Amino acid sequence: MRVAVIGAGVIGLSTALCIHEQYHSLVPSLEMEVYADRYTPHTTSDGAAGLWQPYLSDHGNLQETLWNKETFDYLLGHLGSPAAKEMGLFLISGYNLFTQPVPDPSWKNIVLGFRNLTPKELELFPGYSYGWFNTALMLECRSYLPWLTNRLMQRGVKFFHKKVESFQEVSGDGMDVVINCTGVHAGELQPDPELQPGRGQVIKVLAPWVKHFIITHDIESGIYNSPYVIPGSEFTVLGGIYQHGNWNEENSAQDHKTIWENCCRLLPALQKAKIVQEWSGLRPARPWVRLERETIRHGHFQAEVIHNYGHGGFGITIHWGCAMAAARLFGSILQEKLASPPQPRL
Amino acid sequence: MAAPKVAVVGAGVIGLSTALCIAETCPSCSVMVLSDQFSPNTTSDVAAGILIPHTYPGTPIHVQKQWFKETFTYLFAISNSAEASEAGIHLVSGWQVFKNTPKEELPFWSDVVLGFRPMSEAELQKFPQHRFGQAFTTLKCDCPPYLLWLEKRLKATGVQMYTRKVADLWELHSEYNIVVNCTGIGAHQLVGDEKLFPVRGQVLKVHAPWVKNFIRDGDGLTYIYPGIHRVTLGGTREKESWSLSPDPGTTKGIFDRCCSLEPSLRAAQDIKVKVGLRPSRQCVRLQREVLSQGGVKLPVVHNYGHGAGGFSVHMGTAKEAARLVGECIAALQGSSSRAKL
Repeated sequence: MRVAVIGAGVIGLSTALCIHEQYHSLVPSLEMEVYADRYTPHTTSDGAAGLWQPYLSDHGNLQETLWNKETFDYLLGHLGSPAAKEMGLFLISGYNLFTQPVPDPSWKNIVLGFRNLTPKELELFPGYSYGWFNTALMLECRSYLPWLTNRLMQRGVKFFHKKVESFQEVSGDGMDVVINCTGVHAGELQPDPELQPGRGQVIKVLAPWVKHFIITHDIESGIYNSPYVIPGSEFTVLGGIYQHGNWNEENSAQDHKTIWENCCRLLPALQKAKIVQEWSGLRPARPWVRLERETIRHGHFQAEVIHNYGHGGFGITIHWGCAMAAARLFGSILQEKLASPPQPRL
Repeated sequence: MAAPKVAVVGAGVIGLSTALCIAETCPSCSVMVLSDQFSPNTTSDVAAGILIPHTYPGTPIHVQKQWFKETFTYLFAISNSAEASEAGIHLVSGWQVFKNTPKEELPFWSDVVLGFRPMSEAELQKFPQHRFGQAFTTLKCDCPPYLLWLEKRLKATGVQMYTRKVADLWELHSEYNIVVNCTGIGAHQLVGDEKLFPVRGQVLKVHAPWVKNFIRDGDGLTYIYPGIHRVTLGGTREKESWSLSPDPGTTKGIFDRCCSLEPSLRAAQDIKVKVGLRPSRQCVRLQREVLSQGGVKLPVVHNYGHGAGGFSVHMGTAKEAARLVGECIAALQGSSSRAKL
């Protein structure tokens, strides 16, 4: 059985691994190939700081909340393992700040030690009158994606550097299943007006004295359009840009100024931080994640496609839950193929 | 007295902060710091510098709490300013875990640190050998940066620093009006204080930048304190041991104990081993004394014996020492005006 995974960001690689881990022993003939035009460190995932944190509101999307929880629990379970450092996985505590009281988030019981901020803590953040403290996880893709790649290569999965222009291109070659993890560019394979870029820009600095993440929220501006500071294992990421519909992957001087000034106002000590890199990327934004099967028919061939894209600014946060859901869809495809005998190839 | 000349002996966190307080509360004073060692070779440089108080059996709790509060407030303001990184002061959150529930679930300092609360069941799952824990956010003074920053501030205030081994406080009587004794463990020999004893601490300073939270076993023997560039792993509490040489068996013991609290430390790199002698005492010696020989008097203010709690209370004791210096000056001015009659 041949499976093509298109996309090698956090979604593509984790879905590939999840499916291979679950089904390879059941289907010894399972051959998996990954196709992508961009690999780490050039994927959208690589630009993310890597903090596990869903959006403030799940908009009633319980499914996504469950996938977030599955991801957190899965990662938490790996914390004590020797692989944690190689995966780029570690615990981190920090602050979410608001200018007015807000309801608790859907994820308050998923993270560790969630609580409201005390008045003394709020003194640290003039202009903010309400907030949360909790301990969550960091999963740095510049480590995680190579780790996933290594696990996949060890399993014999093959990688191809190629821009796939159509489903036919990969499925016409005897592929039984195509996993579509193409992120923000999914519309090029199949038009999807719901999928829009959520452009972000970040500044990476050296500020090793920062030990907490700080995410501010401005209900009016919307998610990620308010400054945030996220310390990684080597660099600290400063951000706070979310531009819906903007496809420009070039760094903007105006955005740089916005990020820098806002973050330095939030944390005066950052003024002394050394800037190391600037990066822009396009969050694959969608009202909800597209995670479903589709049978693509084109002329005389057909392929089973599993779509897994549209994770916006919470791809890392939700990735494993989605990978498992995609693996379940794969399982049902497998079931159907085993039930009906294979068609002879002409 | 025109410009009282004050010698502060000792350049660890106590000496430098005391000198700074004196210079700030007594602008007319001429303050000098004398020490045989400066950063990075002081006992303070070995310490992690985390603000978690040590309890002194001989000092009233309200006094210790006052000292801690003054220190915390002072450092909190710096951590929130543009100078934070230069001063080496940063906030850090984490957990203090206990294998057995402590008698006192609320330490006296619980309302001084930030967000103090018992750990949740979910948080305790990370520590299978421990049954109870406390989560809070506190401050850390990274050394050498903090000591170097204090030295910089001292120089800016006009305080000079001199490398000098003082063998006897009396030797300073001709050059200085008042001597402030911040010699830490050195006071054992310098002033013959038998109540002062070393508690040897060995620590590892490792490169593990993914460790962002502190973890401390309530027994005080095992701890993980992430600093700016290195994580301090500890430790030992060996009473009456004067050895400054690292012990390899101890190194392995510390590393193993810390790894069982935080398994990811197995991947820590570039392990450096350091030893410091905590200048321990039932209570901090914070008092005036007048040395006299042949009719000549030398007022002394002692400020030493902070043991495991130096960083946690340093500003509080520095302020008190500066106040005592003020008393010495007043006494000197009183006697000199009497002499004029």
